[in-house]
Amino acid sequence: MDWDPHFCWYVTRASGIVAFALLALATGLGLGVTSRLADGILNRRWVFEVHKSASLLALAFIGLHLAVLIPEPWIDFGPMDLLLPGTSPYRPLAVAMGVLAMYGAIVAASSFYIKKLLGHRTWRALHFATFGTFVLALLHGVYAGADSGEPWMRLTYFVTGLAVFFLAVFRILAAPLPRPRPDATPTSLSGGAAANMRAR
Amino acid sequence: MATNYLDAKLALACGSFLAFAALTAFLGVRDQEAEVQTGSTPVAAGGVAATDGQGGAISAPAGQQMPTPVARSRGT
Repeated sequence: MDWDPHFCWYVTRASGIVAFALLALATGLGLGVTSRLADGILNRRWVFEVHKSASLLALAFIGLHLAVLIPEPWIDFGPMDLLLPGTSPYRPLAVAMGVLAMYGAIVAASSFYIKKLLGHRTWRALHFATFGTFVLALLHGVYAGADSGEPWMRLTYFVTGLAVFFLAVFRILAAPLPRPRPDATPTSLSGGAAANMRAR
Repeated sequence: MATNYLDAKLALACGSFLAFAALTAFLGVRDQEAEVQTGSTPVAAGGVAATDGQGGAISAPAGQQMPTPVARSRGT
């Protein structure tokens, strides 16, 4: 069988693109769950489970993306170049963003399994911090990706970036407001209405 | 409902692997076509074989030298 010498190069590019798409899906679904955008259309538990699966699959494809870079004969990447940010001989900053995005994805995916250990508040804070993972992965793809100049790849970056941005803005705007204490004077009421409340 | 989660997870995994296989094949065919047209595989900085989308080579960044790629012959 004729073996293409650049097979690993195609695999690393394809796995990187799929990992990015899965990361975008995981981020989008995560934002969809917390903003309750899909409530009434999709079951929240279902969205959460798919969000979790997409994160784990993204991690698997990130692993493949890195693993095939080492044996690729045209690229001089060692394991340390792929694990330590800034040590890559090829576009160090763009690759460093990819390395940091990988660590972010590992933290996000593993946080599902140590949620009880972390506590809900810490888990949520950690999960929100990993939102930056998508941004880093996007920048890594744009500046280090060999196919970034392709119209279909540009469209992918644009559509996923816009979708996640829209969902993030929606999440911030639709974030549940803190419940007012029953004994607190409602400050949002007009002066007259507040005075009436106090008079009661 | 548990079956629904499983179905969705399975569909996501299968879809991802299909997309990955299709992309690998697509990139391989496209690069080989570019290689036939230009006579050589485009090489980017760092010895990375890549195209700029129009079948042209990505040039090395300023101040960096393009390393010589060690290409293996086909069939080995």
